[in-house]
Amino acid sequence: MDVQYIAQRMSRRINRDVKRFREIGENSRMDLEEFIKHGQMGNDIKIPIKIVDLPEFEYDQRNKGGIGQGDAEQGDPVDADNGEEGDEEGEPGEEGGQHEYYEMDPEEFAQELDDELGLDFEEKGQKVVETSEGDFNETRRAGPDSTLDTDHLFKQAIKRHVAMFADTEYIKEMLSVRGYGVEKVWDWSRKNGINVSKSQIEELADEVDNPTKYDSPDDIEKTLRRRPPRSSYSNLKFRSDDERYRAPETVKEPQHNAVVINIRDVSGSMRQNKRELVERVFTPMDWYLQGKYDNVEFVYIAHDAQAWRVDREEFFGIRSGGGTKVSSAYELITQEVLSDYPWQSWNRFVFASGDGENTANDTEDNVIPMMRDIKANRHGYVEVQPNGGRSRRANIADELEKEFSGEDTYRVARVGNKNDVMDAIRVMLDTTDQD
Amino acid sequence: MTGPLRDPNVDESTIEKLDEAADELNELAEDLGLSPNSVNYWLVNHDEINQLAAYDGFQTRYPHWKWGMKYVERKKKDAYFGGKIFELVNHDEPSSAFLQESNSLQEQKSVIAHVEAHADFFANNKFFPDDPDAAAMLERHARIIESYYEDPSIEYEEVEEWIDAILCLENTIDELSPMEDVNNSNPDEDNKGPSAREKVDSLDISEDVKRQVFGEIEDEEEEDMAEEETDVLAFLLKHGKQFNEESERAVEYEDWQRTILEILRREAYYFAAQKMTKIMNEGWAAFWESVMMTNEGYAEADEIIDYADKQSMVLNAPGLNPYKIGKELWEYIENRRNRREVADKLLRVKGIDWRNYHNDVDFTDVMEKLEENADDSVLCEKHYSLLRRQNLGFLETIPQDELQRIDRYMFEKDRYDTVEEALQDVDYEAGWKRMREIRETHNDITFIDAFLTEEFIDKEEYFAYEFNPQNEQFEVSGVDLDSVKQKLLLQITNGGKPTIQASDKNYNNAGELLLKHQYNGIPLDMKQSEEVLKRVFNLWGRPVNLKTIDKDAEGNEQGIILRYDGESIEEEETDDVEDIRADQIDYDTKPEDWL
Repeated sequence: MDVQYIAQRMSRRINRDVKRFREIGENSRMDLEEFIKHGQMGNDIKIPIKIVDLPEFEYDQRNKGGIGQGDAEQGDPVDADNGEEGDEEGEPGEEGGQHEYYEMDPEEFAQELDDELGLDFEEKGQKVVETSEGDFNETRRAGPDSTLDTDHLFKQAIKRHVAMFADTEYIKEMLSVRGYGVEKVWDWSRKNGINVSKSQIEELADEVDNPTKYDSPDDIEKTLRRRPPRSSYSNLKFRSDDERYRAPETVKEPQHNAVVINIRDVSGSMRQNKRELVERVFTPMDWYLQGKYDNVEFVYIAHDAQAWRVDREEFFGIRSGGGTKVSSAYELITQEVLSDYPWQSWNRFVFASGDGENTANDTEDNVIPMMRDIKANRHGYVEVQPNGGRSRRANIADELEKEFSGEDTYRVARVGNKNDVMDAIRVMLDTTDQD
Repeated sequence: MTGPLRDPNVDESTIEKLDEAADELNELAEDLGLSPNSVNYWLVNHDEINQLAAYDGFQTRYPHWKWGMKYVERKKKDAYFGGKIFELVNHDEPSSAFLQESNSLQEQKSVIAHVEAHADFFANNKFFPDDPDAAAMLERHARIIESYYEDPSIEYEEVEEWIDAILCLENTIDELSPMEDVNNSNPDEDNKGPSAREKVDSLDISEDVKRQVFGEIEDEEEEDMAEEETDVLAFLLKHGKQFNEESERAVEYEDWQRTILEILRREAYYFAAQKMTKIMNEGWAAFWESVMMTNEGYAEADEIIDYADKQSMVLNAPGLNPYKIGKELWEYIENRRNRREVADKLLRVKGIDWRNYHNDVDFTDVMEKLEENADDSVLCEKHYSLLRRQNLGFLETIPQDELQRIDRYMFEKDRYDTVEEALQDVDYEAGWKRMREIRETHNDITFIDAFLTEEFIDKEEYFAYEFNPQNEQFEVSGVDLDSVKQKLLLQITNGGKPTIQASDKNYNNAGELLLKHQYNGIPLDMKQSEEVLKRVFNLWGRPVNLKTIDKDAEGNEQGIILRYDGESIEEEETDDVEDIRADQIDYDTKPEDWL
């Protein structure tokens, strides 16, 4: 058995392969348009790379199922990560059909979308740049001695000390009972969960003066210690693994602020296919604006005949049974949202979506005036109408277009299917004229 | 590999300690009854081990971006999740194993122990050929393929795409059979001249006319085509052509194309052994590593925690963890055999038979005697599984029917007068002996089939799960043996991939390829299959077809044939699917009321 050093460095070869992989990845990244049409909508911007995912004959994932461990009954839900085999801990020859994702941050995404759609987006707002050092709340693995987190170090050492403790004095007493040899004491200590090895017991046996001091274990005067005595704590063993060093947080003041207020009609008529189209339009817009501004906050408002705030997950998913009154959303915004985002220091974007239906006259009487009242960089309405079906009452887009024609702040788009998505985004975000 | 380089950052004494550890552990392995083949250990740094892992444990592989992808992925995992590769060993004679410089001595020892157990598995399991000469072979392959990339008369992308296409079919070999030689040049045939079909083919007329005028011409070769060919790569070598874009015709493979196909097929066969014994092999290594380290006292006082940490990190990785289930099964086999051995002896005591076994045997007494009789200086007695803390109650759990079976075939039923006498004759090594037998002859499929029992899955709490279309989520579909076994077998048969066979090289009487999916209740990922077909087209040169069965959310099955002609995919329904339905197997464990 000879232990040697690896001979030649393999770097050259692997670098060649990595380089080729990146070339392929870059060029074959699914172009954005297709991605938005086909890609998944999630919280991270992950663009699947087409070519890198070599197809194979595989089972349909959903039908494949799997096995797991745990106290379970038929029907219990399972959190299947759909993972393939567990860790490939260095075992050769294992290769599944891999999915590689190219991860983008919002800024990169915004850049891409700009290029793709030919957008020219100008941010507004004050420029305020401030960085400061905050509290010493971050921890790192290395640092100046003075910042060592001694609390943590001690706590870990103590935990270990307690876990490893075995009352050797008591064991010696056990060994002093008539008939209790190493074997018996070993057995007894295992049964009582005492953390000692057989060889330790053997060693202790050598130290016992009188192996027949007691007739039975009941005679033992000493009581069994379950925890280490105070005195032993002076011999704590520390581990370098447990060293943690405090470091200051860096706090940065935002440059530009923006709030994006998303509104969605969740009434009964907004079925799955419409919701999906909304998601396909709004998600990229969220990312885009996130990439363009330093500090963006998102407000999600659902409405049927009334309006209420929701969080992002609910926004795309929910559906109520009620009728539709679009102005309820704008009402809510005026009453409860605007005060948090004063126009002086916040850029505002208000995007609404629905299938164009509204209660009689609500658009004309309420929505339009409120849209004018609420100061914002952009007001948008996205009408989703799959398969071009339009009911007589789907008028919102028409009315808004008529009212706001020529006014750059107000944008209206219609989406019939996935192919209209990119155009809709362009309409919403483009800044052609100065504003 | 060339000689070692000295890295000034690692000192002499580390090497010495490791040398010593490797020697001692190798000796210990042999004392425990193992017979590892020889292993060369290499100390490498962090980056190197990632590279080696990307290359499947070898230093040289043919150029391809997939290695780059694997490497990048490993590095990411490393950085974000601390995915340390603890061990990396390849199957060769001698094997090479790689130790990370940054591992502590404790970690190195457990890696070495693990590696020695792997080396024993490679040496003894019948699916691993004795002298694979793997490193040399892979290096040869690398050089050959490199030369094609560098050949100015061959376009770089063409080579890469050719390899890409073949990689999609990497698993379509006959893993259970040794690799057959494919000889395309049959000297007898050459003398016969072109076959009837070839003569007709060479006439420049349309297929329709050919068929009308000449009817169906039988090809002499067609008689050979009676059976389905599981080794699709071999089938391609024999009958495949490439599609020439300019002439829009199928033409013979170039030499370089044929060679690459041969190379990749050969490599697939080399790695097949490891793929189909993964659970056994990893379980085996984890089992013996544990014996060697914890029980043997190699771990000193404060190393136990280090060691336990590492074991639990590895063993609790998410997804189907072959280490975990493998180790559990081996431990179960060990215990069961030992339990049976004791029962065998006790049933030969006067007055004890299978009926009164559980009533009349004092198991506490038996355990005490087993312990007393155990001689610590004998390894199998020192580590006797029935005496380990977590197994203390196992002896008495022997099921009634097992007792009956032992009893039924027993001669010499009254050999012993007392329990004490009987226990003197217990073979403490029974468990390990049985384990050694099994590791020689089994692969994962037969392993699971034979040793996964009701008792095991109950104790270890295994369950099967499926996607419930009604509730749109994954749910437990069953905790019974059949369900669990089926789902497990599905994951490990053919590497968890469906079995595709080549069935016809003259499908539609137009030289089209027909592939058949051996349907076992689980449908294919159709989208991916279509993508594969597109690439198979490049390897066949003519339209390619795939016959399979699709299943909808309600569980209704429909036979379909997918066809790709170079331009588009067509789907045709068919009811003639008896030839692809694997009769007794249905790996779908969804309960009726879910559909």
